Amino acid sequence: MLFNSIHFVFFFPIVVCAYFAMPFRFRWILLLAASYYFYMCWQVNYLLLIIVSTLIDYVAGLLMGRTEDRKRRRLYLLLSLCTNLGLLFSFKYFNFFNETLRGFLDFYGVPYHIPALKVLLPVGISFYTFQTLSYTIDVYRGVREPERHLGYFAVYVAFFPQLVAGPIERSTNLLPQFFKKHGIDRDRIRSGLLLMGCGFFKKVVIADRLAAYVDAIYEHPDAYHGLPVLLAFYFFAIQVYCDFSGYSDIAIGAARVMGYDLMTNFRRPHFSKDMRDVWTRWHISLSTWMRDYLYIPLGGNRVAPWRRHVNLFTVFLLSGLWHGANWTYVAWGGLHGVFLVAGNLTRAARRRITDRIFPGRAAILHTWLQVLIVFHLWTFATIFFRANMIGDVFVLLSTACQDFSLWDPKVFGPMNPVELGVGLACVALLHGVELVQELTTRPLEERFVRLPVAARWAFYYLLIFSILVLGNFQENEFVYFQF
Amino acid sequence: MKKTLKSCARLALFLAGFWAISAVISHVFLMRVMPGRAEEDFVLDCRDYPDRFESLILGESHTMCGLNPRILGECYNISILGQGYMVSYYSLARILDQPHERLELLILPVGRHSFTADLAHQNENFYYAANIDYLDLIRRRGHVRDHLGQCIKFQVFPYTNDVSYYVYRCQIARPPVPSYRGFTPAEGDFSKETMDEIEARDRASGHVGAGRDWWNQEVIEFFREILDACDEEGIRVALVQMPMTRVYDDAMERLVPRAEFDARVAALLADWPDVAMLDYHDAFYERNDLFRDVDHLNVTGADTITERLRADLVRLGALPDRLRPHQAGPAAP
Repeated sequence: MLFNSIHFVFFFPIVVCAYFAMPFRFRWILLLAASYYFYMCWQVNYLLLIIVSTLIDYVAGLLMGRTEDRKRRRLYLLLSLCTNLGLLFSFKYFNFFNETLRGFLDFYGVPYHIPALKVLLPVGISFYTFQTLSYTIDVYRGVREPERHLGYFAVYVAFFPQLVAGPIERSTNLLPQFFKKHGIDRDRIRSGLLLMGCGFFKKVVIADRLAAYVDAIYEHPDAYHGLPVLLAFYFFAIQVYCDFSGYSDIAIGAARVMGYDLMTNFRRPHFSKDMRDVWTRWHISLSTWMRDYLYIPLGGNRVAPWRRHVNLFTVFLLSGLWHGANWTYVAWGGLHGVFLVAGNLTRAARRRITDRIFPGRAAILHTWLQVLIVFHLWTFATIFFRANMIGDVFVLLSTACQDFSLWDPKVFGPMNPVELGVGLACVALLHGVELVQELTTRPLEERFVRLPVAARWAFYYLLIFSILVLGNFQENEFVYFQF
Repeated sequence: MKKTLKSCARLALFLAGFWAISAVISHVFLMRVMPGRAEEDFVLDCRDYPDRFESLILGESHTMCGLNPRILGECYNISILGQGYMVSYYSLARILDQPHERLELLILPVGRHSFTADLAHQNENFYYAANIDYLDLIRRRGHVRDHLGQCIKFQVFPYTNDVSYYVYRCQIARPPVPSYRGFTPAEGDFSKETMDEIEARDRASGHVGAGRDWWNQEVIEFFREILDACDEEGIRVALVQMPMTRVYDDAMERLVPRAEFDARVAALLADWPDVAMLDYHDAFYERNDLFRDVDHLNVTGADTITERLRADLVRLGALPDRLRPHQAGPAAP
């Protein structure tokens, strides 16, 4: 089920009302049924994968909890890792590696006959696989006790607000919350609904609007030249942010309405000051997962510098592969790895230079210059992220430079001036609000709740009707569903 | 308890405010932004002049700006943007229910995009929500949830379909022009365009849709039902392949091969031997000046092709006695 569907408009209030009306001891059953139903709306059969993953990890956790023998615990962890990563590989990566190998062998004239698997990519498989893996690794490490209640554990794996596109929750944060009784809390409901509203605005008003422009360019890389192509690069960087952070906002808001706190997934990434900062603001649940379960086990910061750089690059390469089974994602991850390694290597030199160029109060200028540069590096990397194949990236980059002029009527080719104007105004509004938040320490929501009722209601109406009037209700999928 | 009651009262007040604002926006959108609904005008006209209309053009944008009913005598053009056979079927059913209906001829467009699945699904928008019989559609398709959602979306919140698109399209790019019995004359000269190949490719692939399902069984079923309904009522049917630019047809050829399409249509029409097929798809291949854009005729093109259609209909005996002498001239009365 999509958040931006009429179906969800009915589903969510019904679940929330039933949730609060139901005695506490039965609530997990409702949440589990709602979560499975939520998933089954997309594909019934693939629910089996979630159930298999849940059962394997539940059993692996229990078995690990019963023994102190390190070898046995490692064996159970391996069972969980192999099952989960095996499923992930089969459904997501097999065809990719198979095709790559076929291409490679064909090049050398070696016959290769292993056929491609005819399977759909299960929605959200990368998300719930990583979420459930974090549980077994935590149990193995002794960070948490194994969960004995299968029902609660199943809800943790399949909790519907964040099942298909995160945030990738840790068992230490989410699981204990299922044991707490959540009453009706007006403030939480208001705050959750407000966050959901902001998420819907980002998704249906901004992301889906820009998507029309972006798709027109990226689907026909050689059809446009100059300014429209350049605009599409920027628009995709904004689209993917609004799409994914919009989903996260809706997920966090929906969970908050029911009394659950999910982790923050985005913190205004377009205001990052360096590439390292980007990854503390963008898809935080994935970057912290990668840090805790991959980068640190590889040695973290405590190894030789060259090894640290190799590890960093490897982690980002894998992060790219996590996003999708395509060389474009690998290149995107690799590019970020290069940015980070280069950033680390040049940090001291850059600091010396900037201290000379931007002394004293001019440092603020340096900060905004950094933001601008990082945004452009990020935007450049997203070209790889969105392109259908690596070859398209080079076509797009070359067409962006052809016939370039600062005013080109063809900018309205993929989208009419009114729609484009509305899109740009909404992007400016969003970034204006984020800028204010960036410059203040107190959350804007705290100020908002202190406003008079009439002002708050006016804002609610404005938000709702701007979504209804300006939104795109073609029920477009979220970009991150494919991962 | 008192606190709960207060909360409920506030919620009710908030929702009342919501409905009031929504009603105002709906009214403004339907009355000010959108062009008039041709079906509504037609139904009203039928009511006022019960013996007036003998023939009806029921199609999409190609016929909306491509066939001038003035030239066809007592004819009415109730074509609307993107109207596929599904919506045409429900519109026709609604018209046939009118007490004073006395149709003798139905003119339907047929083209390589006419039987695509996407046309059937994409264009179920607020234009047609008033015509579609959702109960019947649910019976046929069984998708209760989807159609209930659509019904709510288009009937309760008609403005929730990207207003800025319609503001531009209906008010700025193509300001409302006086229409004559549903015919919307279009100005423009495609021979002066330069981006024609890209536009043709985009338009053709947009018409056929991402699924490339250009021979969709459900659409065919609605098409059959239109022909059956006309058969029962004794209404003659003329299928018209509207003229297209060569560049559009070339782009379409890559998606839907004409030979295969024609063969399938011919086989489909075998059950209705009285249905006339008038093929003008290549009539203006060398006359881009008669087009507004890659696949729509301008007013001169519309008058030219309607003249030709009239002559062919008379020749076929499809427009018999009551066809009044036409007066060629401007589209508006």
